Amino acid sequence: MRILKQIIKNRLGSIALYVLILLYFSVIFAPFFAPYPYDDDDVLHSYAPPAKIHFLSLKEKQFGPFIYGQTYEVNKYYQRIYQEDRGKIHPIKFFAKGFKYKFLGLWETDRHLFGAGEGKIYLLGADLKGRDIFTRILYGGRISLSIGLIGAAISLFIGLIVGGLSGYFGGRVDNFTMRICEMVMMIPSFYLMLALRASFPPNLSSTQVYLLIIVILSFIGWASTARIIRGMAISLRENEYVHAAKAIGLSHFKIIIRHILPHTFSYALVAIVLRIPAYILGEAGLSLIGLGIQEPEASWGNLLSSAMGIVNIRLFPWILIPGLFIVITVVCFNMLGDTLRDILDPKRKIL
Amino acid sequence: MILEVKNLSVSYQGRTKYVDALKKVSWAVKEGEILSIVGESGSGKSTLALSILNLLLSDSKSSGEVIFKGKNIFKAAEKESEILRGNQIGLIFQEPASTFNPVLSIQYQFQEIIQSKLNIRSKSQIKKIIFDCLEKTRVREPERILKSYPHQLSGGQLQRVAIALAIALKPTVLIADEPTSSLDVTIESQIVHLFKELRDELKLTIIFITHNLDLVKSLADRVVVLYQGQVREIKKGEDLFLNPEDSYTKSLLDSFSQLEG
Repeated sequence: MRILKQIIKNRLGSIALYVLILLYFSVIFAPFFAPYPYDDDDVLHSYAPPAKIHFLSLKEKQFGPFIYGQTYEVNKYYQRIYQEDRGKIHPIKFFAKGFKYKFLGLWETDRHLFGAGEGKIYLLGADLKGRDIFTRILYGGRISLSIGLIGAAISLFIGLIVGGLSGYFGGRVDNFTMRICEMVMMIPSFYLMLALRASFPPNLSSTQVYLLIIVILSFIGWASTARIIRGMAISLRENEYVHAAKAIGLSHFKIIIRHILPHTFSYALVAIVLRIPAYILGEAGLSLIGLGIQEPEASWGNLLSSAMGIVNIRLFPWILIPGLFIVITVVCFNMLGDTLRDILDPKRKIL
Repeated sequence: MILEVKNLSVSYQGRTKYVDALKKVSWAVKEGEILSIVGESGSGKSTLALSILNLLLSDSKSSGEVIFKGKNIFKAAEKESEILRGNQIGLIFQEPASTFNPVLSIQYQFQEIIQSKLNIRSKSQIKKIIFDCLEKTRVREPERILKSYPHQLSGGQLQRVAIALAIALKPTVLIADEPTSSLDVTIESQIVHLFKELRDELKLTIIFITHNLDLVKSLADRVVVLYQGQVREIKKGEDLFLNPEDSYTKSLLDSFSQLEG
């Protein structure tokens, strides 16, 4: 609570925190914010540009936000050129009826934040199959943002246990675990990630792939955390109260849990926040080259994979928008991590 | 003899070779006796305390026997040692301020140890034990002290709390490793007095490690003089001061009386 208050006082930290809360919030309630299901394709709107929202039309006596219908014609390069069909007006309704979904998995509803009735509204454009990119960003964020959190939490957990044990016991245990850590850290992480992914069968279901990516990312990430926690544990175990706990016969397990690891808490908190971007980028990297989350499931990485060719980017620049979300998230986590580190650094507190 | 040390040798790994900390040390202590171990810095006093409880670092070499209640406990298995520590042999450290975890309240640390070492779960029973022990060590305002954190208490208070924690597990032997050297002189004499009272009340056997001959004079039944890891002399408290035999003991006493004069 005290830490939270201090973050809010800090300008950069509070901006990052609010942006992240907004992102996670909208991702959790993705079906509500999204006008369409994530796999709702529509051949008529392949690569449709972002919708222009109008507010006033005197000719049609239309007030409030609305969009026109869309038509297209094919030019001599066989490209679709989309145009507004001024004859059709689709007013944007809030809390409109749309597809059915279960709100938070609890009760069924068909209300969405907005909808355009008969017309199709592409807030951030459409992809090759005519799926709404805005919708897919929201659904993809569910995977990308949760992989970051879960992956970082798991690797931190492993790092704490391994680092705590090897630092506390020292000697042979320490030597053994640290050599393993170095082996993991020695291999460039992206190649290790590819190799690990390659060692599993390619035809997994999307849930399995999701879990697999988490496992792979935390397998790569635990080593550096473990090394730092080990260093802290080595200095902490020389504290008199650790000796006293030993002398009064507390078990090693209890000493590590109660008297060693809690003192690494402030480091761990900063580490986990600064580490999340690496996991988000890791997932994005895997999905980008087609080894991660598979279509029709969305993740920010595989949304970007359609933006791999320069031609696509030139013609349909809006397919890069998922990348913008990755950048925003990574920057926010880094800003939040830096703020946390400044707050938790005891040396700064004295000044 | 409740605790007996026989031919105990310990050496630590130095940069190039092993350095002897204790060389064939032997002594014994009777039930209800206060045995004092004196010696200058680096004479092996603390190593002695640690080796009784099997707390030596893994890179040290050691040999010998420690016989507690007729059983050799030296280099016992970790599980056995854990039961032994605290429940049978308590250890009190030099710096009361750093023997407590700074981020946990005194009450929490008491509860944790009593719960895990005595297997008592009921909150009220634990409370009763805690208050009982705090009363025995003459801690004033136990309620307030239990709620506070280590940095909020003075050295003397903390040392009393530490002693209370040690006797809460009802050990038969209490090893005090220079328990008063970080306290001022008035508190020091109170703590020493407390040790005497505890011995009488609880029939404790106390091994009092110190470099302060003043305390030895007023407290110890018998004295072991340690110098460079070897036992130089074992004598009754009074005798040591009246007619020391060993040359080192003599010079130790000489330096002491010079200061007094």
